[in-house]
Amino acid sequence: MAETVQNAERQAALFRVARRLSKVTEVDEFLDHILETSREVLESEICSVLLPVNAAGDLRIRSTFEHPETENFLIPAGKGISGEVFQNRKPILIRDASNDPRLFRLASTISGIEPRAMMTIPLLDGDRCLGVLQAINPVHGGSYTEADEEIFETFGSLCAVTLLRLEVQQNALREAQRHEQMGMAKEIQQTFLPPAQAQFGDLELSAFYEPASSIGGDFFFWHELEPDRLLFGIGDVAGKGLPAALDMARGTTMIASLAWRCVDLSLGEWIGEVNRNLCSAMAAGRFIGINAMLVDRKARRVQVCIAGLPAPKTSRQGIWKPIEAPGNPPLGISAAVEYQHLDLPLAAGRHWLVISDGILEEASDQGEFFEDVAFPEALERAGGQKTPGGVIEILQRAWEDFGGENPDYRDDSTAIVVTDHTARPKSHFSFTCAPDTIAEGRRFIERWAKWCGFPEKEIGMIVLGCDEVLTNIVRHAYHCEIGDSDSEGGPARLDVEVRHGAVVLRIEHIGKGLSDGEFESLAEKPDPTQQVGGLGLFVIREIFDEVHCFPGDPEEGRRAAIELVKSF
Amino acid sequence: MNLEEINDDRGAVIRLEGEADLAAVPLFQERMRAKAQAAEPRLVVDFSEVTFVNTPIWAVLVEYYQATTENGTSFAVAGLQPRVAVSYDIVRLGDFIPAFGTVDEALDSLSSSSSD
Repeated sequence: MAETVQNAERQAALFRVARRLSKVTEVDEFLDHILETSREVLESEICSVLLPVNAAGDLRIRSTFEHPETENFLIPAGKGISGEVFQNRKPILIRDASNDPRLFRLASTISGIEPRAMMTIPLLDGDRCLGVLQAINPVHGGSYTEADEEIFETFGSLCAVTLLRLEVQQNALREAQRHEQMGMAKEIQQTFLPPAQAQFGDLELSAFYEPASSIGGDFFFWHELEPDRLLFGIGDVAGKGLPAALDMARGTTMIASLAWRCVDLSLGEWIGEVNRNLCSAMAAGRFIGINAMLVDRKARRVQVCIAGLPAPKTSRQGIWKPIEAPGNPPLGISAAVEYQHLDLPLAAGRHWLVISDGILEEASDQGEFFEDVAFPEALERAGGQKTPGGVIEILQRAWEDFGGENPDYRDDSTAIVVTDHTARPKSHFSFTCAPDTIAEGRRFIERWAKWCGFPEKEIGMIVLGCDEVLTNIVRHAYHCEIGDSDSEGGPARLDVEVRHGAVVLRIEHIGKGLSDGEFESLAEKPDPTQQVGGLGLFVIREIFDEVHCFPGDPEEGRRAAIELVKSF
Repeated sequence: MNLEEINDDRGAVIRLEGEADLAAVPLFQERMRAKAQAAEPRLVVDFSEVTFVNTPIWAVLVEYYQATTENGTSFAVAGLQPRVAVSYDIVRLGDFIPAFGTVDEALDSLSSSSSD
């Protein structure tokens, strides 16, 4: 009867312990509580909890026996009964400990208590051992009973569950702190990036930036230089994580501090200067791929420099083409590299796209790459967009759909699009072509040549070439004699079309015109020392890359025409 | 196009201004033919204020060159602006008609070569 009452009291004590353990939030609090209640529950002279302090399995002991020498006492891995239990994850009940060779004698020497009987059990989470619970010498004398073992196992289970809960809580807390820190790092990194949308007169810019983790090594940049120049591009730092993020900060800062030099230098020269600075600042083995463009809005020219990233693209009338600029090595590798760039007319494209390899190399579940599968179709749809934001939106959605929410492999991904909204000049001009009005035709052609972004010298040549055609029409199709002020001339129509890589000028008039063969024979270089005229057709052929003649048929009402093609 | 004739101690100067195209040919041709007929010892055509020149204008210079090349007179152009220089270069007039940066340079050069 007395034994039943005693067991009921111990069960009640166990329930109290369980309730209290459910509220502890710290391991030290847990240990204090276990030790505080263990005597009552386990009814032993000494109760101890041993927890691992390292991967090797050394155990730190916390015990109801308080002694200065046991405060930071470590049981070496595998030593003693507790070490064996921790290692093998199996309980050990010793009914007579005095002669057991496994006993770690140093512990009993320090405590001064001679172990008589001992119960040691592992605190298990499945196969994983979280610690060891040990009771020494039952207060009722003799050895531990079956009832003691039962209570001990229950108490051990409570301890294991509590330890597990604390571990999960602590991991969650650490993860939350890490997230908070990474969030702060991301916020700091974002301060190195300019706004993702901007407007510069008729140029509009939109950017997309998605780091693979909270912080990344990609970046984009843009700088407005003087009123007429825009420098923009993207960078991709080798590697990931904090080192890449720091180099990203270094790269963006250096670009910002050197951007003003782009006013005097060509883009290739400027990239070379950034490279020399990065070479002296970055650690060995670190480098940054940078693709950049420099737009001169006044001259309507674009310089493109590719240094270690995929070729940028440009679209006109919905069709995208890669910009075949010379390739250069990434920055930060060798200060001796001379960077090359390509100089293009702004009219060569409406949208200008710079994109990082992270977008193109996005992989699907089937192991296919975005660049090979979904990118071409997305580009085709994006080409018809009016704004850079529209282009970015289509590419971003296609990229996200392709990779899914949690792709196995995702790199930092960055894209930047600049769209030229400059209004095109009227594409045709009809007028009466006479000696006094040819200048009107020249004005029309000059507006187009400037809009296309031809250099000043070539604008002069194109205007001259068209003037020579109009002069020939006036003199030979409409028979206006030099000095004849009554010459009325005749109708002419000028049409201009920009195709990829070229401007096509078409001039129509009434009359027979010339065939290609006639043009070729008449365009032979004359000898000015021997003859006075005949220079016009030679000049036309010298100026344009292609000349195509379409003879007219006055009887059928078909006009004659000449097409002049000038490549960008 | 405007045309002005200037007489300098070192030679005659025809100064053009504006766009020299087909419409300008009659006036320019008339003055140049008059100069050829007068066998002007030294003539400089000043293009420094000309923004455009086409081949009919160059043809007038060629005509003058052909008419005077045997009579011991000297002739040059001056002040070709970049766009005009492009046109001048394409037809390679520089092979037989010298070009100078300024009228003074042209007159000095023509004067010194004729006094040699």
